[in-house]
Amino acid sequence: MSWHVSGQLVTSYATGELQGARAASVEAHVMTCAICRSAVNAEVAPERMHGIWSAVEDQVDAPRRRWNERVLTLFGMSESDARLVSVAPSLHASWLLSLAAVLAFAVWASNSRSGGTTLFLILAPIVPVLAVGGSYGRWIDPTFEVSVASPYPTMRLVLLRSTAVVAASGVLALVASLFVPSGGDVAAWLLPCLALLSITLVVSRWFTLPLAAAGVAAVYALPLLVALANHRDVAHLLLSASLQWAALVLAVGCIALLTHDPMLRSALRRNR
Amino acid sequence: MSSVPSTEPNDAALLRLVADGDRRALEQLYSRHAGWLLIRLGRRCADPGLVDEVVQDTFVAVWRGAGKYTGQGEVAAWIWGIGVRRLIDGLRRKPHADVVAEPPQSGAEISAEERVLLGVQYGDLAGALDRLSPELRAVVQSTVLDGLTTAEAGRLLGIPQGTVKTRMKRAREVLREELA
Amino acid sequence: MTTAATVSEVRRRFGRTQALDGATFEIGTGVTGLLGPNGAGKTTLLRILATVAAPDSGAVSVFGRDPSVAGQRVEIRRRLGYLPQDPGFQRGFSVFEFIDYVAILKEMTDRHQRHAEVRRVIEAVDLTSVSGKRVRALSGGMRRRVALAASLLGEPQFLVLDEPTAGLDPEQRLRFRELVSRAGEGRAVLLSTHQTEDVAALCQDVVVLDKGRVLFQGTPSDLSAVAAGRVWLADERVGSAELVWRTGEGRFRHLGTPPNRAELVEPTLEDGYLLLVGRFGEEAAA
Repeated sequence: MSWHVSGQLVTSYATGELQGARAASVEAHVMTCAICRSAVNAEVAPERMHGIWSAVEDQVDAPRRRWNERVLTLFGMSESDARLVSVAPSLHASWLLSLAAVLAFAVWASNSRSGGTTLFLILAPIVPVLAVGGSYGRWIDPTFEVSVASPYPTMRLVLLRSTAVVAASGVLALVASLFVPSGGDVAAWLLPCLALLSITLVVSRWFTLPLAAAGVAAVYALPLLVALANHRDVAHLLLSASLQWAALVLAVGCIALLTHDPMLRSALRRNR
Repeated sequence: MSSVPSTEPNDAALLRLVADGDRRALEQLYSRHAGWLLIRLGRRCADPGLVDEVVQDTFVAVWRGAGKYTGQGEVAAWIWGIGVRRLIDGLRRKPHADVVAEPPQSGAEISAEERVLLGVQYGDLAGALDRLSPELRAVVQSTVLDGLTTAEAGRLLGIPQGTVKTRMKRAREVLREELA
Repeated sequence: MTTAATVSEVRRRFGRTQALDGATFEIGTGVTGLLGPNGAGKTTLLRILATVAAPDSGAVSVFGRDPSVAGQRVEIRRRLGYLPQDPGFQRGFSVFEFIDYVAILKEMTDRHQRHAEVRRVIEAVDLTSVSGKRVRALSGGMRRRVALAASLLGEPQFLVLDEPTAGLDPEQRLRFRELVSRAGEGRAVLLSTHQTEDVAALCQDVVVLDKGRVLFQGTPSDLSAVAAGRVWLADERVGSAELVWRTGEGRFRHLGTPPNRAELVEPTLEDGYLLLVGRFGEEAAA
């Protein structure tokens, strides 16, 4: 390029005065010449440029919202809370699919052999417990230390995440239970599940949450699985009224313990 | 023209950096291209609010789609392609934002500089283009200069695609006659 | 010097290890270096000051508040910035997203203001060119910088940095020192390190910690003075020294009680530190 558009020409182009082939020439030239581009750029008011850039910045920087975040906001969670909760590993597709696989296995077992319902009754209650274990804590959340050192109430974070993952995994378990062929008996997993969840939250005062959840799940499921393998009548135990009552009492007791924690009140207060 | 090599990265290099998540590179591209884009789009749409929106969307699209630039042609042309298509979409949603109507040609004198300009860019064609009626010139500008398809040109100018084709045909005939 | 934090007779045990055994010192504005060999209890001390861990006994006060009281603990956290020893990042987060996440944890609920603040700290640590990149795709030094940026959110009055220069090459370490010294203007910074050069370059105040106890608190020149008259050079190893090592020029530097007619030299900060600690620890002298 051996020549460039003059100031006069640029101004008359920018104001719209210049027309026809002359304007077309300027436009075609500007496409290939950086120097004349900056001459044209200078005709735009700086405030207008800054204003638009500020809007571009906001859009470009806005973190991409994940699908689980959208679902959470649909249920009324604030945007910032949803961001904190959706990061929980057990709210991601990989965890949910794994839990669904466990349930699917239990459903298959119950459909393929007699007495297979017992396996479902053992596994279904621990699925939400495992989900809670995968929502927050030392080995689960990489930003654990920084979270604790931050003013956001840790208990609120734990409660919000636990509720979300229990809801998600609970729905999976409920759907799975529809495919288990023994009618009303299937509801027998609900109270034990509630009991195990509340015990986990109480135990998490002393042990980090993943450990508490894994421990509670193991203490419940392993002896039962061993007994099942030894052909003991586990079904009788799981369906018995006394177990259901015990579960209810345990659940109520633990929930009472939790609600008397002063930290809970501050945790449930909505963020300013 | 200065022959000192610029230490600043060229547009294609900046675009590669943007594809890699470099926000500063995006800011540099913005300062190089947002201005002329605003003016050029403003000459095709009378609604400055819409033009601002379109330019904003264009650079967000540049950020998200920087990897799609194939290296063919100038980055400026690539950005223009994104911008003008966003304008067309925007016009479709806000049909009352009219295309800028061309004021009648003043019989003003052509400065010596403009003469040089015309000579370099279009030669004889320039005069012939100027003598075209505004409707014919508009379709020529949209399809040839702006690089739009006949369908897109139709949406930009607010006329059916068939009309665009007919006018292009007519414009070609007129120009061929003139330049023969 | 306004006191930002005090630690008094703090004890903490993990199983059979007594990590902190009656540590006592004060921190004021400016950069304070916590120097000590590995296993000295530095990380434990920093975690206690960052309100992440609690001591078994002893008193801790940050901004005049007691971290063992829940309400006061939150107030401390609002004015605190913490860079842990092994900063972790969520999988798939970009630099901007991660820092934005921490900003939400710091109670910045207004999105527009929060994003402006995130951009400010990214700019402060010179990471704007990678703000869109995944954190896990960055080098170790850059990841540390990301974590440092997050700790600067909200302009905290007290910065607690756990070994911020560990694993960085000399050039990165220099850049980090610059960042930290800028961050230290007008606020209290406590950083732990086992590199004496960091302390010499950065700190107005030094605390030497070993085996859970504070061996020294004072200025860097005071620390060098500890070794005054007890450092000498010789062409061969002399048995009476406490510590001997070979220098770059092929001579031997000795620490301890010098023999008669020994070639005494000016003590450095490192000499003072080594003499106090009484051994080389993990990091051998250069």
